Amino acid sequence: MTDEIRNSLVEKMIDRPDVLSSDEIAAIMADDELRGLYDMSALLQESLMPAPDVDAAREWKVFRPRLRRRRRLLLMLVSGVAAALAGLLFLPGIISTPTHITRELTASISPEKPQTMQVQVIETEDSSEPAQPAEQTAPAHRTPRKPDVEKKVVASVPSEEIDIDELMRIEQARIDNDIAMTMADIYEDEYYAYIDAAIQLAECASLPAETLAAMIDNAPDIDRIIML
Amino acid sequence: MQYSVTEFEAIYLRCFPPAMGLAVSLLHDEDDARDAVQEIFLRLWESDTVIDNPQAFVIRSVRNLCLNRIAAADTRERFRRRFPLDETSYSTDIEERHLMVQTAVQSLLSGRERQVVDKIYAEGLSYKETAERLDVSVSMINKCIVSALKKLRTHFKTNKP
Repeated sequence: MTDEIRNSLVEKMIDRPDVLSSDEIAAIMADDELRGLYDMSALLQESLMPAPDVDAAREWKVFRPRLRRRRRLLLMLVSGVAAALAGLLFLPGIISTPTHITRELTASISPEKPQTMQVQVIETEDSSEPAQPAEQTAPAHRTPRKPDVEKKVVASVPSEEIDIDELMRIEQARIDNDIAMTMADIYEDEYYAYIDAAIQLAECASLPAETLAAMIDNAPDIDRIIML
Repeated sequence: MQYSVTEFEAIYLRCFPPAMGLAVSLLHDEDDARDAVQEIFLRLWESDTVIDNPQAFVIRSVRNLCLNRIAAADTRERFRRRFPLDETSYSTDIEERHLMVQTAVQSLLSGRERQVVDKIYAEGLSYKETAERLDVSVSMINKCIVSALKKLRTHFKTNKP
């Protein structure tokens, strides 16, 4: 490698690293001296770069809403897990409770009734099978699984309206909650956009820190959307 | 979350400037540095464990996070951001290392070399801007830089920073 090429590589790696080609990067990596110069250059950059002049109070003003946002996200996560757990706990209750009611009702009315209903369900559930006479008992050759399915279907018939209402209410609440959360996110995004715009304006117009702080104070009140 | 907002504000006001200084020196970019520092403050805010010395926690965590980000950068990105190619250079205390380099720049380089190094690394000027400010050619700037880097490299081969 000629001195001219080496100088060109050094100039590029320090002044215009963006224009280094893959081959040039490979050449620098393979050359101990160039690599050493680059590492020294990186060390100089790290050591000589002045510490930024930061206004901690202003930084805090900008950062503070993120704490609330993060806390809200955590609460949403926790409440989501809690809702899922509650769903798991209540679901067996929703399924099993009407079964008991049905059993009690059918037992108190007549012992023949459930069998009749089972046959009706079989007809509707599996149309490929030949239709059974209405009062015929279940045939003996059925697999053990079938009666279980039939029982569940039979059990669900009397309680169908109650379950649907309950599920509808839950679903409606979930949708309402989703809408509220989406609206909150929109308001929150507006808030952050306002803060960003205020900071950019202050930087472009060289406004004093007090003016920026006042602008941030006058931002749309994020508390109205974050119910914490 | 072990802190009230007021307590956390006090910690933030106290720890943000040094943490930001460290992050900027490692990442060479103010926005990236701010992002890293804020991420650590969010971790502190969410932490359930009691932290005896929040300032030490913040500084140590910012350092580790920045080094992780540097380690994740590929070679091209390292060149673009002037990150070191070898992370083992971070094995020594960062502040102590900076002091050694600053001392070496002052003691080993000529006046012209110091000027050029200062314009490029401290002020962030390009070769062309530096050449205009110092009223010299761009090739002279490159010559000064190569000469300065060689002197410093030779020095630090025997006195590892």
